[in-house]
Amino acid sequence: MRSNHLLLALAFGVCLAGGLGHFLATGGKKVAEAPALASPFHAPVKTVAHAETVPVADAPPTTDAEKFQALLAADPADVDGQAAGLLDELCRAGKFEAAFKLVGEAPAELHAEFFEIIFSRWAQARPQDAVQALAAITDATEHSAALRAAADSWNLNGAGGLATYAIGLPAGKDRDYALGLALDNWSLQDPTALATWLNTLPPGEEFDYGAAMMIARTDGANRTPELALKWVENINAPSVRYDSFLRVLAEWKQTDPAAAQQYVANAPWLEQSQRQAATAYLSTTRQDTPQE
Amino acid sequence: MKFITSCLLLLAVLLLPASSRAAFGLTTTTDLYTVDTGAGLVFSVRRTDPSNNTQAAGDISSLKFNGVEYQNQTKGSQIGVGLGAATVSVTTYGTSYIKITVNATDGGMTHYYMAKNGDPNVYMATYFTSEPSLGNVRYITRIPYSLLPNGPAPSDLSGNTGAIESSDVFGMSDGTTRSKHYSNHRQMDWTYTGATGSSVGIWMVKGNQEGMSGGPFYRSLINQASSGADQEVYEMVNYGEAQPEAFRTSVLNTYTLVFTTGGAPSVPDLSWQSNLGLIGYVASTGRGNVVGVGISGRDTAYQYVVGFANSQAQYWCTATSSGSYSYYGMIPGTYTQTIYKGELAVWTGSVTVTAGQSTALHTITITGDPSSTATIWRIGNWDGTPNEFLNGTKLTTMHPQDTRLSNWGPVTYTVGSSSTGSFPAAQFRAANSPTTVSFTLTSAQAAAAHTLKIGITCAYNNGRPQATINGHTLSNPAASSQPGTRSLTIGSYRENNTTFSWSVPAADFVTGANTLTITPISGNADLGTWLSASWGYDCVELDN
Repeated sequence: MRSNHLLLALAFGVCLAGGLGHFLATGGKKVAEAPALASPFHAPVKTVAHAETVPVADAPPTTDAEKFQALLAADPADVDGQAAGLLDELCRAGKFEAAFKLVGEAPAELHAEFFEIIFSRWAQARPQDAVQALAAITDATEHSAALRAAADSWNLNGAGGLATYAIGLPAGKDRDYALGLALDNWSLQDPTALATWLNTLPPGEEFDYGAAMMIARTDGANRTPELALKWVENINAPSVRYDSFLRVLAEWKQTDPAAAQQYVANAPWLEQSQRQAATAYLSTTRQDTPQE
Repeated sequence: MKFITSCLLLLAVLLLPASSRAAFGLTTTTDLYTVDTGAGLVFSVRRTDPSNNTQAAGDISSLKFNGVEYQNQTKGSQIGVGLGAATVSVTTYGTSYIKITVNATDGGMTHYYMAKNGDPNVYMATYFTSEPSLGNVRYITRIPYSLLPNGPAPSDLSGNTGAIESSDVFGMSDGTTRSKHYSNHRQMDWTYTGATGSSVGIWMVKGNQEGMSGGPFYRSLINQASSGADQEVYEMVNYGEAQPEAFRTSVLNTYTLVFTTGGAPSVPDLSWQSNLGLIGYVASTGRGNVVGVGISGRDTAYQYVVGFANSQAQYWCTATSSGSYSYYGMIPGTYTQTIYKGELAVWTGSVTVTAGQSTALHTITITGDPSSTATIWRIGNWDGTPNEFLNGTKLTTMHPQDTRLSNWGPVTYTVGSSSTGSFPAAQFRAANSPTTVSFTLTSAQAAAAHTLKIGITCAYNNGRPQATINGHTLSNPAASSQPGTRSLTIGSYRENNTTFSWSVPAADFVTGANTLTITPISGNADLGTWLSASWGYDCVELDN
């Protein structure tokens, strides 16, 4: 029988002991910024008549490259998605590198979409290999599309791994996107592991975001209000700290209102107006009024 | 000769109602604007807030159809419980149209009643710049039940024995349940709602619901009735129960109250409203279209729906059997485009819509269907619904305690022999927990780590699964992000689809018989058996 509470308590304890190192990130981009769409824009294309550009081949294509070239020759904009389908088929067979190489044979306007397919499958099966391959993509738009597709996919089964990877990316929207995804899902799936990881971060926006996310997602089934308050107190940004505090207070009000009142009365970090609002909140009765 | 005389008399009688109809037009008094549609329907809108009854300025105070008064005279038909302080004005457009405009300060709301010469309809449109203080925006038409008794059965409260949950879910003497909430349909599935009486049908025909929230599968109440009271016919402009999206404002919401002699209504043409200067009106020329060539990677056993959403508007369409899809008439802007397998999002991208143009999208390849993962076993399938499970198809029209439902359990499900329909559609901490899954593993399977996944469609009271395999309790997940309202007890199983997954070490498995138990956890106290920590199931699987 594992004791999640003990692990989480240990994590909090480490945090309280001030074991925060210096932050690895180079920038200060706000992670909480609304994440971009899960997949990049698909450029509108004009539907083309298929028959008019079909080449007459001497022999049917045999290799994957020949098939790919033939499909694009017949349908240069890949309106019918058959070239994309071939790449997907290769990826399903684990031939990620081969599919990746084929993209270079396609018109540039199709690269981003093709990379999305490949890196979505690749990162699901072999995330570390997939993100290594990203380095070969020089076009910024295509790189971003591929990275985000990889992040989307990796996040499904490896939020922790994605978080560790994302924190090391250069500051920017892609880093924010990947880190936001990872922290969101990790806080949902395994808050204990996230807590342990957060303890390795220095104070800063990433820590604040992760701590706030974890506080918002967890409740008495994962930790006590008292432990959550320790996290609250370590959040730097005043507005994030107060919002997180209110979440804990709502829970504490149910389980131990007297302790909550005592905390509100004595917490040195609360501003007077916040203290008054929190006190007023604690004095209200629970409402479960149905909506009309 | 006598026969011919009788026929002529009969013909004269039959013609009488039509020939006696007054001409299209407006009558104005101090208190009322009264509109004769020239089609048998005469309706009045209050200009003032009288002190002698509960009708208010901006309410419909009278709905006379073929000479019969259908409006409850002690109440108004109105938005919510009335708009409060409101000013009411009228504009006539020759002998073609009449527009009554109601302006209320709350929410910056403008509500229109419109008539078109020759149509027995009250055309309505509602525009507001912020969510009004009354909360949800709902137009309620109040018709005495005795005049309009034949409405949706799930929301007919007649003869109930009292409330069984909050003040809006009621029990019947036979153990069945009724509620206005159970009148719901998925937004994409209904065109009109209403009821019939003797020689009359009164229907609310919805518009495209571009200003609503929640997407194609969102369900909200659309009716409530009770003998001795009213048949209430609703248009939900927006609604907050089990609502996963923010409300949309500053968009014109159109809908029509249609009168028939009992038959189903046809969807009226609204294009003439372009002549009426409605706030927020976007004419067809100012709208754009999306045309998609195809979707590859589909499971043909499922319907695929394509949704478009941004902060201003929402739309949806269904994909054809070949995977093509199209939507015509969108407000210009950039939309998140989501492809749903059943009700599960399996692809997300974006599309920009330009006025007067069609944006063509080439074939989209789906890579996000979780069903493509190889499994040792899977219970149900990933489609964003619990429909395939025990009581799954009944959850939307009755309370979980309804006697028409099968016993919820606790259930023990044996992989390989139990039917999918025996696995519970929902897990309630105080009703049917735990759920036990028995399965066998080969020695090779037991020697490896595997991923356990539990997909849910909604959750109440922070309910989420705690999984235990052969006595080894896996880590407790956090609560999923869900609306803070009731769901499973008010006819909705769908909020935010969420998947919980655990990497289960080989040490937790054994060769041969294994046991998984699923128990709800939550830090919140339960409010009752059915208002306990809970969720709806989408799928449970052990990956290969």
